[in-house]
Amino acid sequence: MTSYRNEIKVGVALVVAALLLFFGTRFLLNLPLFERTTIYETLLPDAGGLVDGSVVRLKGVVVGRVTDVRYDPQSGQARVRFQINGSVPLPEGSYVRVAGLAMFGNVEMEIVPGPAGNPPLKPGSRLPARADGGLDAIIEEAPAVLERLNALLGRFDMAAEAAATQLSAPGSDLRQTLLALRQSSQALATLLRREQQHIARTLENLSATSAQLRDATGPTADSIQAAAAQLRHLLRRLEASTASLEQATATLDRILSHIASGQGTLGRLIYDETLYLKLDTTLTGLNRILRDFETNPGRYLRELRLIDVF
Amino acid sequence: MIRVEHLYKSFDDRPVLVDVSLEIRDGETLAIIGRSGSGKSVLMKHLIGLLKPDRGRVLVDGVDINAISYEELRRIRRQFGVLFQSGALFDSMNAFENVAFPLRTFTNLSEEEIRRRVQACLELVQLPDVGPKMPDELSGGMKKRVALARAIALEPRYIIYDEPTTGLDPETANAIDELIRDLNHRLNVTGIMVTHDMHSVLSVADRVAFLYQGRMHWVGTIDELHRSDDPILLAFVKASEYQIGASIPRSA
Amino acid sequence: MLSSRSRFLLPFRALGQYTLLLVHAFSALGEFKTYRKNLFDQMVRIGIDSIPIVSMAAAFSGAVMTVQTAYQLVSPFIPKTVIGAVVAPSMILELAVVVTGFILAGRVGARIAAELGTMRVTEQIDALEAMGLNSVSYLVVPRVLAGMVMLPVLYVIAAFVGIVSGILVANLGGFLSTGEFLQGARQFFKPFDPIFGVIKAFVFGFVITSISCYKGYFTQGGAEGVGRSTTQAAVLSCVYILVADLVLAVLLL
Repeated sequence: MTSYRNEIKVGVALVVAALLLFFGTRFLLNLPLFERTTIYETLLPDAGGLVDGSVVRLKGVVVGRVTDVRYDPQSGQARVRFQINGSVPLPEGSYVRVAGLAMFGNVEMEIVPGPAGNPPLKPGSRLPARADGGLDAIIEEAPAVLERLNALLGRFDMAAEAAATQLSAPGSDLRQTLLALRQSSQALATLLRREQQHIARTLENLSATSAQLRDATGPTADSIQAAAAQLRHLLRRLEASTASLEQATATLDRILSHIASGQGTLGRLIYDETLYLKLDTTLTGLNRILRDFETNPGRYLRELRLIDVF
Repeated sequence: MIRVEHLYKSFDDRPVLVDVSLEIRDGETLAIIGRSGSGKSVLMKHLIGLLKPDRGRVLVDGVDINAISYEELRRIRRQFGVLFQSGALFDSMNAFENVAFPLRTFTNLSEEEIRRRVQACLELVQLPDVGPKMPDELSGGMKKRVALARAIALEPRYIIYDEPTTGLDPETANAIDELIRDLNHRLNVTGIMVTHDMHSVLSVADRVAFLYQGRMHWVGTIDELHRSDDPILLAFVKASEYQIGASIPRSA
Repeated sequence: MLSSRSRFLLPFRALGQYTLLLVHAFSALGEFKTYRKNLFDQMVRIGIDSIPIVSMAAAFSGAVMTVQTAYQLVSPFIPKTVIGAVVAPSMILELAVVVTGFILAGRVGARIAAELGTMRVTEQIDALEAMGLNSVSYLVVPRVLAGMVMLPVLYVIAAFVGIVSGILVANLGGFLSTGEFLQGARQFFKPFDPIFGVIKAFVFGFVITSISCYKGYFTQGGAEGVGRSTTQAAVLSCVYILVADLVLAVLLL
């Protein structure tokens, strides 16, 4: 009968070559040989040297590869697709940024994961991109932070005022906790207010001289870069502090509204454990930030002064 | 019936066929004779459309084979069996596969039926046992006979013999002539023989067409050939007759 | 004798003849039944049977490349991984596919031209046509298709063998470790590289087989003509592989 020896040989060769090609490529791409990968994408204002095959890192570990970089006419931005090894979940709130220098061909994409508790992102979803760019980015970003801080401080003042009147009643543990909270928050507010003014002034200087700054080269440029990095760092801390204060204010607000609306008395609140616990953690957080401010009283200011030089 | 009308063909500005007209009637065996280089083989290739004429027509059963599509031409070609000068056996196949090849390609016969048909064809050319042999294990005469078996496998209406006896010893040549006569008689086909072997012509052909310097110089029956006084034709026949019984050098 | 006009037109005539043959072959693609058996025959003869020689050549080029790169890069300022970063991409992008192409031009191109040339001068092609068979579909199509399918297969094997042999030599010769080699290889690896290699192999497969089929199919002048066609097929295949290599690099990189 007809034998299919030739067909079998050819078939085997084709399969072997296809497997070699597939797994060889994955091997050289540092992708896991057998695991599935998940595709995500992001829009970047500037791909900045990212190419098909660029490394994707998460906390410094290579977790995937860029698979496609192209201009997206709809958004007017660079659309970057990348694949992540299946075993690495990306929680919601993750974002990407481009790191490295195009000049040396080692441009990478870095994923900054969202809070660990968040649900994982769906495959194919679009991650926001954040440019950790130079001074421009900070100058753009800072006013929003400051504005938020400003609004918050105003709200906090009101809450604190209200608390002061409500808490005139003597006695319970809760009263003391609340009192401590109020004090801590107030101290933080004062500090933040001072920093805020400082940052605002610095930013003004920066904006004024940014044109010259951009042209600056050599060692000057280096110190600008360093200063920018510090300023960025400071802004992040300020953001964290703001978040704590916001939480404190919110808790204070809620307690006060409970008392004011007559839904419960102070005595009943004592037995509302969840509320109490929440209050306690807030307080702990606040105190940590305050302690940080206190142990390094001049740190924030010193960093800013560096920029003041310009 | 095949009609050739006013055929012109030249290669690289060198005319090979000039105004050649010819009629091949059903059931007859026509010999196309002429010296080497007179254009016999070129004319033969025109009959099955292997070459396209510069001018003129070739009609097979009334169809101009150069005015139809390649597919239709191929369908017409299947009515032809061609015995090429060197046999043209496919040297990657053994004798059996060579004869079976047209059957496998163009019919839906079962393997068993093909085997029977091939065996019948090989017996017809008196080589019942060569099936498993490869072409290069066969002698020149055997090759031609296997090729003949291949040519008749599809029971063609026309068989073209291109120099069937050239390069063979007289005994084998005679055997081939006999075979051709026998086949023409038995299968009732129309035969076209291209040759310069007058012995072959006289023993096989009904009519003779003499090509001379690219032109159709003379056409007539064997009887007419014997009575002809055309000096050029006579010169050719004379020259050939001397060689009867001797091996005739191959033409290019 | 050819007039000077015909001589001038000769290259155009050849190109036209070549193109018409390919058009004829392309239009015969549908007659799968005619060439099915030949297709797999040719795939085995062009592809499978070439695996040993192609692997050997790839192994040697990978090894030589590693040794020579190591020899040229003796400098404390250049990290050893550079050897991997030079050898692997060169192998994937260029060496594996060009070495495979050259070997096949000699091994397969010459054989195809000799086969078809012999069939032409012994009237076997005429015999096929006279039977009412499409000789191009029967002879040319399976060879060209087999070349286009099997060259990428051979390329993948060659690239794999070449890199593995580079790693082996790097280890045995004490130039650098497997880890260093792979680190370098991965550093500049782009997933398009092997795809580009496959594309090149595909094109080379077409170039080699189509030129050889053309040369063989239109052989003239007996045994001597077959010899001429065979030589020309191998030489022209090599030349046009290089041309195609450059054209593809310009077009796709």
